[in-house]
Amino acid sequence: MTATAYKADLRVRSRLIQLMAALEVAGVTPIPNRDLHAFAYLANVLSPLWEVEALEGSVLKDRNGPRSSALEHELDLSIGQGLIKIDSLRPDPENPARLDATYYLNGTAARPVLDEINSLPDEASVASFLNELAFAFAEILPGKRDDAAQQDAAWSNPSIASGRIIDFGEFVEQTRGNPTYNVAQEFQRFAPDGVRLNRAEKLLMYVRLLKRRAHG
Amino acid sequence: MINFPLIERLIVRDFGLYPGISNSKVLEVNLGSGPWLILGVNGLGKSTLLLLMRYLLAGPVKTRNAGFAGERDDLQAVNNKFFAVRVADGAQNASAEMEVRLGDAVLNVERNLSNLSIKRAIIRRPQGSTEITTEEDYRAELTSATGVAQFEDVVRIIDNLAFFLEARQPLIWDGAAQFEIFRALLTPNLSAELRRLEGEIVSADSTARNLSATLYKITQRRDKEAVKKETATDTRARIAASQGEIDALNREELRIVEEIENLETTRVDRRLQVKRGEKELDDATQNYEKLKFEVLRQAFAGVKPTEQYVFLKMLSDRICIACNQPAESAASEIQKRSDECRCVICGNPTEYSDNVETISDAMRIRAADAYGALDVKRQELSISNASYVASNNELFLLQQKLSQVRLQSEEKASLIRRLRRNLPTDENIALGREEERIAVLRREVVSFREEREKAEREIDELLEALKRATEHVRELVENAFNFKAAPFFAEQVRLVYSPRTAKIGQGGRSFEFPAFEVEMTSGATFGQFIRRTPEQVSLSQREYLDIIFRMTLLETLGNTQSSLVIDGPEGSLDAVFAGRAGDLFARYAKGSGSNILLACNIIEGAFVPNTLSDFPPEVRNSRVVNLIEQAAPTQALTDLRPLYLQKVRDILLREPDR
Repeated sequence: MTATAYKADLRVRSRLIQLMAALEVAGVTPIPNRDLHAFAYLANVLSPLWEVEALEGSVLKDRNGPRSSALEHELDLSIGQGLIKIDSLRPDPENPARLDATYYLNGTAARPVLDEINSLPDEASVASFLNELAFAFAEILPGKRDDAAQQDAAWSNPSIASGRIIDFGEFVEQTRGNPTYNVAQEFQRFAPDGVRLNRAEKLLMYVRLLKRRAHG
Repeated sequence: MINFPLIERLIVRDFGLYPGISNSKVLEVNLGSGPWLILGVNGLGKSTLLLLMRYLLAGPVKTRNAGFAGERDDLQAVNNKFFAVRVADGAQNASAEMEVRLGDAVLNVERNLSNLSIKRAIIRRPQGSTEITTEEDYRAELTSATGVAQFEDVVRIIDNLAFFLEARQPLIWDGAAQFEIFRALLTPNLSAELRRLEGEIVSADSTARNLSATLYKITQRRDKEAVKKETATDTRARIAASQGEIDALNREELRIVEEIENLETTRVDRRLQVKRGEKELDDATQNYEKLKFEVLRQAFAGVKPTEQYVFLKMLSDRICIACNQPAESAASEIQKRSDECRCVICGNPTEYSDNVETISDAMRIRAADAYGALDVKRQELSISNASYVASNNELFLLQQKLSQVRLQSEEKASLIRRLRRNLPTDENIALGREEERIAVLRREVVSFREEREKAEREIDELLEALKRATEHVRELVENAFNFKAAPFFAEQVRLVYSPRTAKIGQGGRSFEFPAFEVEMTSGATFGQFIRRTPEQVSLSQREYLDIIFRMTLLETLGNTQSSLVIDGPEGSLDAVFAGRAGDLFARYAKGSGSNILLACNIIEGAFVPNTLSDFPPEVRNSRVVNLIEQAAPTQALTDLRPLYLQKVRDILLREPDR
């Protein structure tokens, strides 16, 4: 079969750069491939909390954790363009059939791109959401970050078997059919009388819940 | 937990079909644990004997076919002369007795075969015995000993789990039947209430729809009457014509909605195929990249990880990720430099170029294999993507069509409203009276819909409890099924918990109902393929998937030992699978105290020897109810008895296939 170029998706690439920038600010880089996908997944399921459009509305429930092919392609292209750099490349100790790479944002090349992206009003809101999420994500121990994503309410929904699709916003409504969003909203019920939780607090509480579950 | 029935003994007396050994007029079967066979030729009454056991236990009733029903009774009477008409004397003096264990209770029931009425029944429990005289009491005792809340659920357990007879209802292929079984087994205390609310929803919905139909007729009649009065203008004719058009548009809308629902299922399946394809391609790519990395480790010595990665991607995907364009020639050149132990960047000879042994041939072969696998996955994903895109496009067109039809219908309705305002006032008054009737009916429709919605809210909570209970046992059921299915099927088979969404009435809300479905590999498609209907598998696969599902539920959801009774398990099997089926039955119930009773023809091959493989040849005869010796002979048997008897002996002595 003759190779054809990847279908480039600027929407995905700009979100990827934003994801990497947020991780950079929170000090979570260089980030391993699995953790990057875990972070991107959490950003997707929690995006309705910020009324931000999710990059993808569904994911294949796989034993190895969440993974997005679209994001992986754009990651490759961003590396090729010098926007993202690889810090280390070695065989994955957890899976002998895979390579384990860690990534960081190439500030010099990515900064002008990022400035352009964040100058758009809706994308500025995305950036603030991702920053909140990245700081919460940074609290989880490095070896437990992909485990934390698998503790997520949408991911661990027992009515969805491994090998099937978790749909949190593709064929279902982003808010109604998304267990993650519903759980995050539930925190308000446990707040003391007169205290109104804002979305950043709900997000932090939710990620801390995942952290507690992942840390055991 | 539920106590499934464990059949321990059967005695048939004075029934012409089974004269017994030496015409003793008694056929007696004592069943211990493990596999048991009822052997016979066609017409000797193998199936009848199993049916007799079923009717002894449940009585002359069955449940209606699975599915949401209104407030009518789930139990239906069956012909109680079924056995009487099989013999010349009407089974006047014939009776059959069966002993069944249900947890710590032992039920002994004897029925007259002339009409299946209870002759004698007694239930023994550790705390004492109870004589049963009426069918009503018998049902109550059986229900209580089984551990369910209603007798209908006992009959479902008997027909959907314990007895796999000729006229069986499929379980694994029927989401509605699965719901009824899980409702009975996992939330026995809620089962009757769930059924009551289901009936209320269906009835209220049906009444509301009937009233809507009446409303529609009255509205049409009103419009026609208005047209008849028309003399001067064509206003009313236009109203009637528009109403007719709305009617046609409504029918079209229903058709499109149905088509969309069907297409949605296809689209969901294809999306899954794409996501799995992406995952498999990703795995294959990673695997190849890893091998490449190993192969090129030395060639990349001194190159920074980012650049290494760029080269790796070029070599594995044949694409330059810097410019995102195909890079076949560059990739070939790098590969060539690497193979010739030159620097992959500039092509100059390197220090290690003398040592060509550093990359093993085995590694190259592995890399070539991995690349081949990668290529296959690319092609598969490309096909899956095309199918998914086609479904999406088709769905988009249908949705557009639906919007158009709805818009047209809305426009027509609006036109009618405008035209009515133009009618003369006196006629408007007459029409106004008709409108009042229509308004009353509309209120009735609303009232029944509210009734349905109230029942829907109540059933929602109960269904949630059932869902949680099913999710609790989900993994247990899936693993047990997969463990049993793996040695039997040549294909990869997987049971997957996949709740189905359905409406209880034709209108109203959708609910989630617990259900399992099967995924199976196929020669015709790649990857695991969801089989939702029996038509998607072969006859033997259809039967054995259902049998294994029943075995699984009996083992995982029951409290104690149980019986599984199967009619004609050998019918759909070829020579190889006959042996595998025998192994399946030999393994089932091993060491658990349960038993399995199989009625089959006298067939050569591995089925019988493999089923009885745990028993030495000399005792296998004791595991067989040989109807050649105990049933009324057919003409074929009269003529060929010695031959058949010899065949039975040969089959029982034959070594199992390994």
